[in-house]
Amino acid sequence: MNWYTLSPNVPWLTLVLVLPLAGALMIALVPAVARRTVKQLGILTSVATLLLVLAIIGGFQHGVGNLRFQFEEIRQWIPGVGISYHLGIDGVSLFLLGLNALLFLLATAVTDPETPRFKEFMLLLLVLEAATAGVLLALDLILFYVFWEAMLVPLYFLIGAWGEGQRVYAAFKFLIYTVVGSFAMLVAILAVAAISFAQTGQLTFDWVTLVQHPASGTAHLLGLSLSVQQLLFVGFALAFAIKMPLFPLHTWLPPAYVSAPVPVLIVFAGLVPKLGAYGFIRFNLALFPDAAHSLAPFFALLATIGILYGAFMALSQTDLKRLVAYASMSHLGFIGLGIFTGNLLGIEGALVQMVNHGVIIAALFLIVAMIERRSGTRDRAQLRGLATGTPVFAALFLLVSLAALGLPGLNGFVGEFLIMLGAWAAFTPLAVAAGIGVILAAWYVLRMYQGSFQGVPVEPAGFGELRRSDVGALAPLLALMVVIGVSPAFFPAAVEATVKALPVLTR
Amino acid sequence: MSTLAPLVLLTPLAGFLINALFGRMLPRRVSGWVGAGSIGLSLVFALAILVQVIGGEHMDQTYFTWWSSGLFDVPFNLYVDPLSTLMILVITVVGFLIHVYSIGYMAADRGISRFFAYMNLFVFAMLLLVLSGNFIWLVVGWAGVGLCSYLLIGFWYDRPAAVLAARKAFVMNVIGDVGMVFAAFVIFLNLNVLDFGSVFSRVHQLPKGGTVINVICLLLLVGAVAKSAQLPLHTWLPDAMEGPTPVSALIHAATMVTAGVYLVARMHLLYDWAPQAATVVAVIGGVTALFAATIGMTQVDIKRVLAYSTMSQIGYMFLAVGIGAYAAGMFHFMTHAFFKALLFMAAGNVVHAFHDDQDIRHMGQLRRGLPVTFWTFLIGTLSISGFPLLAGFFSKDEIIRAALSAAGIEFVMGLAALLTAGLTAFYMFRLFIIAFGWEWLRDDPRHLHEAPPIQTIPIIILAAGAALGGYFPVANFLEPVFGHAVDIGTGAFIALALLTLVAAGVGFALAYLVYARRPELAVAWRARLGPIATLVEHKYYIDELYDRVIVRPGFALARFLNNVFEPRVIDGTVNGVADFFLLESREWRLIQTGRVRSYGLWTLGGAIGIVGLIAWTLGYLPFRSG
Repeated sequence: MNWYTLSPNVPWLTLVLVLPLAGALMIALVPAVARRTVKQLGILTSVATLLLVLAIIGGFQHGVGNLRFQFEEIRQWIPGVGISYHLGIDGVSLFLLGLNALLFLLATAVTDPETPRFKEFMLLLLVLEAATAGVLLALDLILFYVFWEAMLVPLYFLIGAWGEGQRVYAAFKFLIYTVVGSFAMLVAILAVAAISFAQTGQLTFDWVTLVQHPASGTAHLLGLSLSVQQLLFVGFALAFAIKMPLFPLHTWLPPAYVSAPVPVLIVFAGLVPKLGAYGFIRFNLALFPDAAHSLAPFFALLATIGILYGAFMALSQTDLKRLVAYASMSHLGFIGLGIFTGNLLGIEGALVQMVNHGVIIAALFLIVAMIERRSGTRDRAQLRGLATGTPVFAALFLLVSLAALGLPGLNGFVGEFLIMLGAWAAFTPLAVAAGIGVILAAWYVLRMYQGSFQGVPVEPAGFGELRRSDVGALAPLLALMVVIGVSPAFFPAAVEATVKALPVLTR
Repeated sequence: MSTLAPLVLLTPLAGFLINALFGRMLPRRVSGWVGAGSIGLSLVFALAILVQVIGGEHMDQTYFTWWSSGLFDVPFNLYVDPLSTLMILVITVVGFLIHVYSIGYMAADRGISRFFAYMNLFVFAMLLLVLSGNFIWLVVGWAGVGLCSYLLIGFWYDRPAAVLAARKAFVMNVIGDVGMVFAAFVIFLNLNVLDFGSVFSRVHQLPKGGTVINVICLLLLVGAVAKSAQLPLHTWLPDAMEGPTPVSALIHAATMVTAGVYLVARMHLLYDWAPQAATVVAVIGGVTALFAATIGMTQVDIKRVLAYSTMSQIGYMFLAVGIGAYAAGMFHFMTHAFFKALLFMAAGNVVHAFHDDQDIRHMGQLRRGLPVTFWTFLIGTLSISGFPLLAGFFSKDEIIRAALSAAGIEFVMGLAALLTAGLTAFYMFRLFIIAFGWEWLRDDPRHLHEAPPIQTIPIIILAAGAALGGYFPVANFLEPVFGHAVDIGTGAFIALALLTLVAAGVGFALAYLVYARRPELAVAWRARLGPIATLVEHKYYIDELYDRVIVRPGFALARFLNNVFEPRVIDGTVNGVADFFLLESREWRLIQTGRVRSYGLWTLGGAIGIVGLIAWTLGYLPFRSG
């Protein structure tokens, strides 16, 4: 089913990459003092990108499985070594691309034009958008790696130059962690290509070719021995596990989140971790299904530890930003658990939870920023009774909190339910542990909400109600929380065919 | 009927949206009447459904798909049968009366539109809970009523006690929600469906009394116990009395806390198939009934006495549904909704008259000052105590009778229920005698004011229900769902009725003796009971136990992870590795040329080298011989 058909003659996905870059180029040509123009260009670009992505989502055909992609583009890039410019979209990447466009629009919209070196900031943000979109669209392993690394550069500067507190330490720590992971992945990518070459005599980095190996005629790579598969699996997994992050590779996260400026945080926390999760599904589950199957218990265990660990850490934070950072880690544990259930419902749950996580965490960080802007502090111990006089703020914060703690009827529940159902089928004890994570989430989320907004107000004056622009920034996120919570049927309709064809399910 | 059922749901939702979005622009009275009116309208639709259900109709209608993938196909469907009809009627009738009462009770509160928004949202969620035809939407309604309970317990959010009580209620209810979600998992993974109709028709595929069906029923029971404040997840209910009194009447007495009873009754085909789990339900009910009644005898806060009474009465209902007397359990649910809502609202009038003082020792002799409240409270007290021919007499007797006709542990629970009947009469008359008194004062220097008619008329209507509700043919109405109740014969009927009457009579006589005639006895007995009385007065120290065993260790673990484990162990390892490489790298500084291109070359070269090495050892490179 689809609503309309987009012309196959237009390189739609290349446009998704080009639009933000074109916007960045235009901003580069505008004088730095023209802050309003820069802002308008930034918003215009990200609105255009979002509309384009929505058009693609609308034109996406349901029911196309069998490892087939849509809006596919393939061109020779470096033919001598089998590297191609290959883009495509399927059920795994579809809604993440939508999340990408939405969060970048939000990020550009909430950036204060009075930010120092605003022009450069906006420019880097748009470059980052192209890079993250590229990560989701690339179907060539080298092309993927290029986008993956390209993402680092703007992020490093956005945190290191515009951050707060120990920003240089935070940015450097993030960089080092990530580079270690990326290097392991590069080794694994080259190894995969080398092995494929040794077997078939054809050098290629093409995802589709590697997954559907023509020589073996079977659905997946090479019939490698399990231990080799596992070794390669771990190479990829290291990069993705650091990016998500999976316990215990998470210690770059709190300082980086605390330092990152809010517009960056929206994409850095709302989107980037999901690229790690995406990588697990796209590469680990597809290229190495046997290794995925054999290592799944271990990774599912790490993810579950992450759920509980993040929840306990969130319980002991007083800085709201750190609290949300650990809450985010706990929620990402659910996504990891869903992926490594290796079954249809668990992976679908992980996919919908990726969107939910982006929506919820972005909203939470926005709210923390709104609180800090009004009261000058993020310390829960110094905040009390803010709801007095700000009923709208209190109501919206409450709604976001409820989505975050997985209240049935809102979006967080949908993903958590499916993930735990998948986990119950695969590893029942881990599902039970995840259920404890749900109970802890109710605890730390309510402590956050009640601690800051309820109780006797410290000083009623001075804490202002939300402005129209604040409500506007939160509105699309709140709408998604309700819509996905009440009627999420559109989601499996679009992704089911893709997930069913994943090699880890068909092996 | 397929339009009526959504209308029953949607009118309270509309009321919620109006008050939530525009409430602050509306005059107070209008907010109140929007709130009450939406429930009134819902009641009209519910009555229309009743007419059709009496005509023998039944509905299981799907409206849209919630999630469909593989075998997992969950619709949004509504399920109307006599059981859900009884529920929506009690919810809308009692709910409407309590909303009307609230217009008067909350008139002076500046958050009145917020109050009615929450109340309407609650009624919506409660109706969803009982109308849902599958487990997902049951859980949505289930959590929704928990949310509204949280919002309304913490309605006065500038009171720290209310905020803490609200959080406690929410977290304990989430424990129950998780149990129910797990039950849904086991059901789906064994039967491949989640809608009630299919589950009911497939449940007999499971071995009777087997592990699977027992696990399902016990997990459902976790949800039921948390929501209905039964042992051991009961500690939130007394604290929930921090909320406004109409909330206590509607949510924490008449409707939400009985959801657990509804759940077991709705799933009666499952519990019939899991006799062991059903026994657990009965034991929890019987023990909670007795346990809560003993605490009720010692409390001095009027609302807390009623809260423990609610726990105890729901214990009766659990006992009933646990021994398979489903219709009796639902019958008691209905009469309890009448007399307990009445008792709470009357108590609200008293508390208002005493300027929010809830200590019964400061009250007394209210017959002249609050005549309507006095007499209606007396009717409620008589009804709950099982005074002959009042509603509570019929419904409670039926449960005790059913339990005493059983064998084994169920019979023991029947004895506990009989004892509880005596304790109920004792603590209710203790409350009545201390708070309302017997004496008629010629002049009342306190100048107490009876509540306005908007607060007394709903109570009078409920008093009629508490008096006459026993004559409603509930068992006949529910027969299509539960089948015909067992007839034990007239002789046994009269004998057992006399037994409960004696128990209640003894309870009443003791209360009268100790609190009306010889108050010095109360002091003497308290002194003689010593440590036992202290134990009961402190609610058996269960709050303290949970604090020591769960809450404090939880925070200690959180602090340990945050202060020691994360910085020293995890980050310490990471930084240690980094330092090692920093040290090593001094030797390698010569190759750091500062040129990015040369770094890139090294990276690529290194990677290729490593791959080559691996590939060579694994035998993939062509130039390796052999």
